Amino acid sequence: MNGVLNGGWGFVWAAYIVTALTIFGYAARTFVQNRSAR
Amino acid sequence: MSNRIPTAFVVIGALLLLAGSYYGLAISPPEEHMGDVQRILYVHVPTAWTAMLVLTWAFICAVVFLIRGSWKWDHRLDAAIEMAVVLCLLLSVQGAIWAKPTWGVWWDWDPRLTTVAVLLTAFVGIAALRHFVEDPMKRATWSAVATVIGYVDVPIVYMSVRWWNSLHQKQSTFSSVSREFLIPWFTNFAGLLLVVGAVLIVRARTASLRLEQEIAPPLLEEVA
Repeated sequence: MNGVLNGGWGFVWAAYIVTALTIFGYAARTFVQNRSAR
Repeated sequence: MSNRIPTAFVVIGALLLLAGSYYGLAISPPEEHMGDVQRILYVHVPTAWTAMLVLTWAFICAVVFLIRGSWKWDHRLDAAIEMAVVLCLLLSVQGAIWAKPTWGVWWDWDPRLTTVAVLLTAFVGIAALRHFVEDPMKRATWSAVATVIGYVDVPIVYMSVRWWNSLHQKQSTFSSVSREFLIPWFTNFAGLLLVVGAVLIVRARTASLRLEQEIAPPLLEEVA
């Protein structure tokens, strides 16, 4: 124990992947819904 | 109406997010105590800032709608409510992923986390209200009033880390954060703002089209 967190890259990748999927997934859904509403 | 400008916003926003994430993951050094796990904050903090801006935008749309009664402000409110739900949910998930390696738990009933959970629940409720109320004027008015009430929690979320003992760290300042950390933060924030801005524009246009279809008079054949 030295007070520093080691590793944790799995958590880092998980956060970035969840963020990308949520933001771009929702954006894609919004554009598709707009096209079908026209 | 053409979606060319919002599409351009999404493309530029995606490129900025790509550049900010590359800097945050590959160039920025690990933090002194949190190590590499701190890199999660390069997406978590911009998401939090964007969520607070979208919630403030929702509040402005609600107030202007209640004063002017203009449908375009209801369409903007509709878009902002849905975006706020998405961002608050994402914020909570990112926070949980960061909390597990640093705090040892996915979730804690800490003041910051609890007030964000209240905010998320309130806006999920407002989105549900918009879904179930059929009369367009009642739907718009009730959701605008509910948004104004729900927004009261936003300053509480911001101040929660100062008012109460919290596991969540206080807001950083420019002097307390080094340049290597600020670059990915602000690059990702700019990218996220562009993408979210584009989505808000397109979603408000969809709300307008849906209302037109909803209140359109029935065709003569349907009447006959």
